[in-house]
Amino acid sequence: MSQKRAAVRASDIAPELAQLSRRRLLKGGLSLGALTLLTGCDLSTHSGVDAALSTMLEFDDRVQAALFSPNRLAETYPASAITKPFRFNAYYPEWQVRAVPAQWRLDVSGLVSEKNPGPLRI
Amino acid sequence: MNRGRNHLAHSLPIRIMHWIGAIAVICMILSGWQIYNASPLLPFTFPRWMTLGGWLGGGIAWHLSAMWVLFADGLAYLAYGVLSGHFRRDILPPRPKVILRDLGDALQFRLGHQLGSYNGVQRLLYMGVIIVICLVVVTGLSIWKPVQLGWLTGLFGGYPVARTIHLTLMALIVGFLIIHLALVILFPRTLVSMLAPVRSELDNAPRGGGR
Repeated sequence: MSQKRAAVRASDIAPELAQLSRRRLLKGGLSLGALTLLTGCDLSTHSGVDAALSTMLEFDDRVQAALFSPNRLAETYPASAITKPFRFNAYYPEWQVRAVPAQWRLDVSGLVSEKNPGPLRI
Repeated sequence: MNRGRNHLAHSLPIRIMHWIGAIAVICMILSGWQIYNASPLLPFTFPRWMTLGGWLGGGIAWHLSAMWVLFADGLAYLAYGVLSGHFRRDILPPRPKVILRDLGDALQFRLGHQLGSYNGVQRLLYMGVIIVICLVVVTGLSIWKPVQLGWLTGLFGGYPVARTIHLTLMALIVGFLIIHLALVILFPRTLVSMLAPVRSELDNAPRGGGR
């Protein structure tokens, strides 16, 4: 997805658009931006657009550092304000939580002694 | 205040700020839809081709970048609007009776349009969208920094409510854009007057906005 192309036709990317994989979700992909000759922004391609966005985000960080205090705590709520069942991160109810497909394996890498990939169980 | 026949329909600063603001608002909406898709509030998501950024992180990068453009452009426009008398002269809506009369005329496609002078319905719409854009920025701040700006988030009724308000205001802006673009298609010379220096038609029997 991060390859540079002079132009992208809708027919070129039809298979990719049809195929929605988790990998695509993580890596980013083509968007309206890509179709209008801006590259799909995944902030890792070092294109002009991504560089501009990165500059803006750095400016953003500086403004936040100047305006906001790192010591400010989030508001404390009474126990009666706890929502049951707990609201999940994406605000979907508990019954909508998607189960992990059985064939998925957790790939362990890095500085660990036991790297056997095992099944995911919740 | 003297708006004779030699006055431009839109001054140069207005034309520049209009187009910078228009691009910023469209980037904000398209990247906002990308962010919405990551956690849809309603039972639908926006198709990929309608969004900007490619993925959640890219959408946020666009949203937070266009935010500064909109913020700077909006501040400049508000300052110009107050100081130049643009708000008082061109935007401040007339009395409700005049607005209702103009609205009635507009719905029957009888309402004239003069470059350089807004009728009651236009004034109401433009003032409305200016206020809505200010509110969408403030609600946006409250859901961007719910800890640092906790008082602001609280003012809007907490994070989930503030987010709902933010999205509702977005829908209002999209509604405005549809009406605005439809009217520009009906009266293409208004597009020209926002691009190039075009003389005001104010001396031809102003209606609605005239006072």
